[in-house]
Amino acid sequence: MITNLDLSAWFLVKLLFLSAFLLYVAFAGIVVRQINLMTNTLEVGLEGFLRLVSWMHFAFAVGVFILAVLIL
Amino acid sequence: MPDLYVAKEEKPNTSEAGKTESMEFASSHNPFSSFCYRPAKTRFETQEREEQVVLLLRKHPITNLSWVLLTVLLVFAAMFFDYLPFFSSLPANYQLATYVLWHFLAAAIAIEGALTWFFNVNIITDERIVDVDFYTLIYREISDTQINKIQEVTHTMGGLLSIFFNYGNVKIQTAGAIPNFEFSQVPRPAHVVKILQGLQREEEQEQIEGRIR
Repeated sequence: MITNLDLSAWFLVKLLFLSAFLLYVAFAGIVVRQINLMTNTLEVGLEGFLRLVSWMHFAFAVGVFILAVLIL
Repeated sequence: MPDLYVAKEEKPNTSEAGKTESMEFASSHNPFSSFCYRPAKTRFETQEREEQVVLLLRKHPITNLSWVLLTVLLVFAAMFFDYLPFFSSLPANYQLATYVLWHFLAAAIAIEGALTWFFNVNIITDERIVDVDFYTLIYREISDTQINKIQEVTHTMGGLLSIFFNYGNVKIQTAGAIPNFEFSQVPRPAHVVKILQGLQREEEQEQIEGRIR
């Protein structure tokens, strides 16, 4: 039998996991900003590729966060 | 009085000299290279229009070993999660979430390590030396000094790895506002010093000829 305490505990665990995923989304956003700053400072011919990868990485992080909200 | 003998003036074969210089400092023009002599597509933020990049330096790739090993270790460690008692008691969706978060941690370490290595560069142009440093996620520092303000250049190599892989530190003393520059753990430090000395001679020659830019 699932008690109210169990539900509260699992809700807290879910909150912790979602916070961790959200933290990674924030990190991915900072990486996008970081790569923009870095490629503006130094150009070596890979700027377009790096920016694309950073945005794909950010989109992936957001997608995983949304998935975590749904399945946890 | 007529000349009895006129020696033929031998003009220096600049193309041969240029070829020799290029051969001596031959390097890969791969954008991931850590020693790139006269890179083709490189520009930096404060570069002047006529300024040419002579050398682009990064830390030797072997210096990335620490974060690479840590990343590999983290990825391998995830394989042993099933042996942890509390992990097995978690529901399947939380187990999956733990795996994903763990790999996100490994990815974060790898991304930061790679970006820090790739964008922290030392640039030598025909006019100055530039040090580009990204200290934290979005804090950067760009320092530069003119080649003609360089007073002393020394290079050091110490340790088994640096001797084996030929990398070391190049310390540059200048008369500028920033008295010391250091290119740390760069490949072929002796060549870096040679290039700097060559550029110093060119600057002196330009000063003598009045061709200062």
